[in-house]
Amino acid sequence: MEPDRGHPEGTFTPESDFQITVPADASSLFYIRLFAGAVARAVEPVDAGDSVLYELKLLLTEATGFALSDDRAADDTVSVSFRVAGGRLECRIRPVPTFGPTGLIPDPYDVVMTLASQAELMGEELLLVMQVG
Amino acid sequence: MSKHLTIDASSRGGWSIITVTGEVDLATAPAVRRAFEDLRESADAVVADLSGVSFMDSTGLRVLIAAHEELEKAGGRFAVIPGDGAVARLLEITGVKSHIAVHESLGEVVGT
Repeated sequence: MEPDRGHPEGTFTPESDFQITVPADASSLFYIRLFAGAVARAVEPVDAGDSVLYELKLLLTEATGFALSDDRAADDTVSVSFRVAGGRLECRIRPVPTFGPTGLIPDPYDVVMTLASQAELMGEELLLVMQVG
Repeated sequence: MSKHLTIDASSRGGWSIITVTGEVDLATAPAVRRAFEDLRESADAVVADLSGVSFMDSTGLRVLIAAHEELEKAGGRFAVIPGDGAVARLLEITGVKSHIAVHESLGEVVGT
């Protein structure tokens, strides 16, 4: 039997994570945002209005910056994965060796903590949760 | 310059105008900073028109704050037109809005 690929005007619920792996370079931030926007628009039950999309992209950009701030080898990569569960969008960024206040104004740490309902460093993986439903 | 960012410089009504379009982040903010630095010697009134910016993060905002502080220290004037999208929302989220002279339109700053 052919799998049900859904209706082109509908939405779908993924059974697994979406993941993007990019070079650990500032120029990769654009592609992470592009990918996040595509996931958010496609996945139920995300209410992907412009404001939510911007805040999601800002959250990921600021958080991923912590993965780029240390000296990294040229072939290092950063991975971002997404999972939607019950109105929560879970994002996991790895590796993120350090996560905390930077003393900068504005502080990217404060931006992350403002936008995320949960932000937790688990080993070298940063878990971010955003309410989207 | 990044293909995701364009910066134009012009002048009107005694103001130097930096018009930024596209996305400002860790990768592209240095180009915006250089645009302000290029005006350091020649301009005492600078307005950043950011109404065409579709994304900005805290790195971009720090560039604006630095340009603002530098001009103010030199006795100059600095104004920002955030538009009603990403930059306006960033100013709200970070609480920086009260530290920068924000205007609704270019005409409001330079006159028509």
